Amino acid sequence: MPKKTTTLIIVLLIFTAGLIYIAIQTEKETPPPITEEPVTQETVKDIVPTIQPRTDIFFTPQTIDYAQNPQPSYTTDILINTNGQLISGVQIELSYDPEILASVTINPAVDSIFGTNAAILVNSVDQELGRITLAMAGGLNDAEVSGTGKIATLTFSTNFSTTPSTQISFLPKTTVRSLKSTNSLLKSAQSLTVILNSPTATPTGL
Amino acid sequence: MQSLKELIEGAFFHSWQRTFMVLGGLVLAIALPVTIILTQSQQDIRQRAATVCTDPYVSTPCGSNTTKCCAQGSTCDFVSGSWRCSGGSGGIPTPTPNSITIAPTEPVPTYTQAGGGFPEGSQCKIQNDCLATNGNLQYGSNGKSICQYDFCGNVSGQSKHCCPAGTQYCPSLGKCSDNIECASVVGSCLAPTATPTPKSTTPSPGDGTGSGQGSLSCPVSVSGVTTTCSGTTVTCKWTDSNSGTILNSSLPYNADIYKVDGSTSSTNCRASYGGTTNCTINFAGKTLTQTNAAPGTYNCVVQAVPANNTCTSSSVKISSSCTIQSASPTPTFTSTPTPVTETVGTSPSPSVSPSAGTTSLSISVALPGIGSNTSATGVKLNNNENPKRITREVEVRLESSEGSDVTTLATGNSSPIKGALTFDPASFTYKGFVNLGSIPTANYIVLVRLDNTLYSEAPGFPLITQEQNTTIPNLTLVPGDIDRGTGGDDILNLDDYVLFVACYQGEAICASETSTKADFDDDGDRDIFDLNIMQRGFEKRQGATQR
Repeated sequence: MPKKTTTLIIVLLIFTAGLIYIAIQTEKETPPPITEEPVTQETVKDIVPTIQPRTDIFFTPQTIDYAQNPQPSYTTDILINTNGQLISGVQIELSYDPEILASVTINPAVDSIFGTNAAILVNSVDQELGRITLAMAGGLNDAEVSGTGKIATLTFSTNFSTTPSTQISFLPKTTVRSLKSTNSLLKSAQSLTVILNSPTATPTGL
Repeated sequence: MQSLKELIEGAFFHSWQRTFMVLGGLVLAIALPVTIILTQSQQDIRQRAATVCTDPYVSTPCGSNTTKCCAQGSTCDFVSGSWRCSGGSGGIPTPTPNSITIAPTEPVPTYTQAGGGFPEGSQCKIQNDCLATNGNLQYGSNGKSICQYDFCGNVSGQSKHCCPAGTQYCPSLGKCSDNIECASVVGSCLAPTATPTPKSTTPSPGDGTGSGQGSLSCPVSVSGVTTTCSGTTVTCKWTDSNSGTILNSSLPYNADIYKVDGSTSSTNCRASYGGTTNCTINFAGKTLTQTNAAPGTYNCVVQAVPANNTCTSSSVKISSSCTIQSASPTPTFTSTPTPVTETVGTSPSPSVSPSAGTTSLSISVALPGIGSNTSATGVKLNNNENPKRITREVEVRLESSEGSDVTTLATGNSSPIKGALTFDPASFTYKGFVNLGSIPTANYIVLVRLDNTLYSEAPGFPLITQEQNTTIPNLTLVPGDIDRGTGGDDILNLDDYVLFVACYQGEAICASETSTKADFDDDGDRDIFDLNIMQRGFEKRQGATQR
């Protein structure tokens, strides 16, 4: 065996022995005393990994054209698509213009994504403010759910208005929750557009 | 000794040695740049974390990591997975109006109008942080609008908001509004706008002539007069004659009895939306009932005022006669103020009196699910008579008559005043004293909560006197608020429910501390009884700070 090879092997052996020695010494070090403190929710937020939001909430239909199809009242469904994520509850907060929309009601879906025994935590419509709040979730012993499903049905009528269109918009408090993460899983929430008046040409005088 | 050239050439003559050296070289070639890149990346992160947008009027932090500063007048939104500035003098176009994207972990940004500036109701971080752009906001000496620091959302855990002069930020409305509109939403009677000058303290029986002042909860019953209130957040109180209003002989037909602490305004108290608030007064065989279904009526506060110096401090003047009031009980419980260490499973000893010369508040609270397990008729109630936590930390918040947080007057900071309450097995309530420090003598709105309840408001408008103890009536708190976010949101929502279910199912997001809080009846288990208590809380849903 050439001298250089032998030298190289020896150097490597010495280097390896040094590394092993350091590793053993590190293991032998006395671990710091463990002080048990109650785990706070803030700590949990640091420990529990957040889940990338993928869940969408949207209306079906997403646009209602009163100008083309005037009706005494309109009904639209609010749906959720978890895009594969497991969720345990959803809270939707909507706002609308009470001067334009009236008789607004929201009915939680009987066959919602959370099943027939979903817990309806909050269900309120403030007709004066134009604020809708609905919170629903699975039961105490229910497993989390995923998929696409209905949350609620929204019904409303329109008042006379010269405004071209109005919206029923999701507010920032809208959230989708899971038992596995401390963050909201809501990725996007698409508002409902109600077209009230079609743009018409200015009539010419006789 | 071989030269380097010979060594290399010799090595390359042997294929295995050549392979060895090539591999080693490759490892070095990859490892060095990777190490450098990683090091630079760490330094960059540290530098960005330390970035401070020094002038809030020129640039403001965008995102919790403070990695981005937005230009003056622009807003910070979480769009397509990253924080972006929009509007103002620089930034990107506002996202599609009918689409919002909510950050995964960052606090949800306030939605503001494009075009720059801080619109009315937008969030501000510090005083004078609002730029006036629409002419409606009040201008300060620096050319910027004044953020109504004490009047707009100045609630622990809430952001401040920019509001035009004369308005305040109303959380339930989500915008600036006057007191009347805000009150009509939350169903509460706003505190009186004028604080009567107190002349005496909470009376104790038999201390001679003079006038008395105190508060009674609804329903109250005073000999000869019975007031019964029902509905949402009804406040009944009576004050002494020194407020200037005296009941006259035309009772109960004189509407003066419905004044709010002497105020002549008819707009201090309104009915709650979607509900009615009734006040019924029975007097001398006659009944008067008012329902404040219409705005503008004010029937929540009842004043029963004795004529000057004609009644003893323990009596109240009704019409032409004096009747004995139900005086507040003499405090018999106390506990050491902060710091609080919760006691578990030991015998309570609530028997120490408050130190002489200290300003303190005597508190007694009841909790649903904790109490006698047997009703008067012998029915089992599923209550827990022996809670695990004998001592509970209590938080007290003080507000002025305008609803501004004035807790700082007591402690020097805006954090809630903390104290300890001890379980009293005789009454199944938690009792104790909270040291109010240097709080000036005045009437205050007193808000009380435990670590898993909403804030509840003490009935009336208690007069807190320096260097004396003030007793507020027993409160029944509303459990369920176990997810409070930063500072405490004082509202029950999906977050609380999901966290409770997580605790029930033993999920990792339920910290040990939260698991304890989720045990509402404090029997050591999180079960269907706790869920029932939480569901009852959802009927109330909003704490007193959300009014």
